[in-house]
Amino acid sequence: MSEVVYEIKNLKKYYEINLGLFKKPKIIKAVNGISFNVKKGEVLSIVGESGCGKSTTAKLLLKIEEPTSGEILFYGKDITELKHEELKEYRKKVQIIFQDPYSSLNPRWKVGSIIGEPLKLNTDMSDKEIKERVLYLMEKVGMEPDWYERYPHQFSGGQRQRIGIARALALNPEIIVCDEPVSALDVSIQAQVLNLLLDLQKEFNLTYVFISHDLSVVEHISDRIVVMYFGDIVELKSVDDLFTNPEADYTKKLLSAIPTIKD
Amino acid sequence: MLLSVKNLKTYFYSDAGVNKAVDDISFDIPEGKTVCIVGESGSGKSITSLSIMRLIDKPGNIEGGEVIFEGKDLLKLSDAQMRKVRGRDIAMIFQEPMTSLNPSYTVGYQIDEALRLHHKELNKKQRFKKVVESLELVGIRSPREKYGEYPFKLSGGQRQRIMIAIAMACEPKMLIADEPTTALDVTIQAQVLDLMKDLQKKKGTSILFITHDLGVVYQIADEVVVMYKGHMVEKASAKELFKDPRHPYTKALLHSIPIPGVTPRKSRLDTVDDSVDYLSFPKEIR
Repeated sequence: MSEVVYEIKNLKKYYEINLGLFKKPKIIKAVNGISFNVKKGEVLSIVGESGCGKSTTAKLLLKIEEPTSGEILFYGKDITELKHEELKEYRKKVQIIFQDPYSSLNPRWKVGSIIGEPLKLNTDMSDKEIKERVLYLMEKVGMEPDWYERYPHQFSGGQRQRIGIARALALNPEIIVCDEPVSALDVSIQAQVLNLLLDLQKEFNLTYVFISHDLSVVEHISDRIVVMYFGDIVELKSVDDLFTNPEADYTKKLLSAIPTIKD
Repeated sequence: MLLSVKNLKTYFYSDAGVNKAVDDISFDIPEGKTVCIVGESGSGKSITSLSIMRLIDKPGNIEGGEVIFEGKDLLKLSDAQMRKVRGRDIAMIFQEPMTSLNPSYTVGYQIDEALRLHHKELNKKQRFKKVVESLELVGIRSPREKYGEYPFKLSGGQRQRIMIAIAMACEPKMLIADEPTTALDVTIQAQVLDLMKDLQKKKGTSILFITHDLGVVYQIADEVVVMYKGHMVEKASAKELFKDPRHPYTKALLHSIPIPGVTPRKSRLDTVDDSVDYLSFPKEIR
C-alpha cells in the first residue's frame, strides 16, 4: 500500500451570498462534507459537471480558500493550521496547472522570468543557477532554449500550457493539482499535453490531483476517480471499477452521456 | 441536393499578407441529413459556415465559388434577397448561448422577432401560438410561463434550447449549428444532441454541424468534411470515415483522443505532428 499524502475528512466549504440588507443571506454549499485520500504517486481525478464543487475542492487543497469546516491532513498535519515557514514549505510542495493558458501567464514577462519566478522567490539560487534550471525545465517540457527570451503572446495554447507546466515543476513539487489542464486545447494538442503530463509523472514521481469534466481524458490518465455532484461525492473508485461497474445513478448518467467513437 | 458548396474561397487581408482561411472547399448537404465539418481551431470551419450565410465582414472577402441553395447561388443574391434567406430558409445557432441572446428582452420576444420579420401575414395571436409551440418543440416545460422570462434566469442548456427555438421558429430548411454544445456539460450536451436529432426527424431539417469534437461527430453525422488549415483533406460518410480513415491528418486526429475501453490506459497518444506537411498528401474524397 502506498503512502497517503492527503487525508480529507468531512470537508465543507459554504459561500454566503448577500441578497440585500434585510434579507437572509443565501448559503451555497459548494463542498458539502466530502472525505477521501490521495496516495503517493497516483493520479486521482475529480470529475463532475459545472457547479459540482470540483474546482472549490482544488482551491481548498491549494489553500487558496479556507474551508468552512473539516480537515485536510497533509502527511498527517492539518494544512489549515500551517503558518509562516511551514506554510511556505507546503506551498513549494503543492503546485497548480491552470485551465486557461492565456490568462494564467503574465503577458509582460518573458518566458524565462515566468518559469524562474518561483525559484527567485523560494530559493537562494543565483541568477545563473536559476537560468540553468529554467533551461533544464524548458527542455523537459519540450520547449526550445531560444524561447527563453520570448513573450507568452508569441506562443500557441499548447505551448503556453507547457510554460505553465514548467513553472509548476520549478520547485520540485510532490503534488500537482491540474485544474482542467487540457480542456482549453485542441484535441491534437490535448494529446501532446497528456503525454507530457504522464511522462513527467514517471520521471519526477509526481502525484496528480486531476480536475476535469472530460471522462475520456480522465479514463486515460487516472488511477482512481472521485465523481462529484452538487458538492457531494457520489462515487469513489478505481478507474476500472468505475467504468465497468458504476453504481451511483449519476455516474451511470454521466458515463452514458460521453460522446465516444464506439457503439 | 438542398445545398451545394462549390470551390468556396474566403480570404482575409492584412498588412502581413493574405490569409486563405477557406481555400477551395466543396461539399453537398442532402435534404434531411446532417453534415459535420470537423477541424481544429483555425482550420476554417466556422468561416465556411459564415461564408454560406454571407456573414463575412472586412477585411475578409468571399473570393470565389458558389453556394447553390435550392438552385440559386446565394453569393449572387442582393443584400435584401439574402436577408430573406437568413432566418427563414437557413437559420444559425452559435456556441455561446449567453452572448447570442439579448439579455434585455424576454425569450418570447426574441423568438417572436423571427416571426415578425419573416411572417408578416401572421397576427399577434397566431404568432404567440407559434412561439409557444416552438418552445414546446425544444422541450421547454411550461412554455407559457417561460415566454416572459429573461435569459439570465435560464441555465446554459435551456438557453441553447431557446436559441434552437428561435432558429426553428420559421421552420427553416437548413440549420447551421456552430459548436452548439461545446459550452455545455456532457449530460446537457447529450440532451441537446438528442433534441436536434429529434427535430430533424420531425421537420426534415438539414443540419450543417460545425465541431471539433469527433465523439459528437460520431453521434450525429451522416457525412463528414475534415478541414485542416483552410483545406478540405477528407470527405466521407461518417461510417466510412470512422471505420477507415484514409488521410494522415484524419488518422492522427482520430488517434489523438483516448477512447475508454479501446485506448490502452496511460499509453502515449498519437499527436498531430507539426513536422508533417499534411497538405502534401492527396485529398481523400469518397
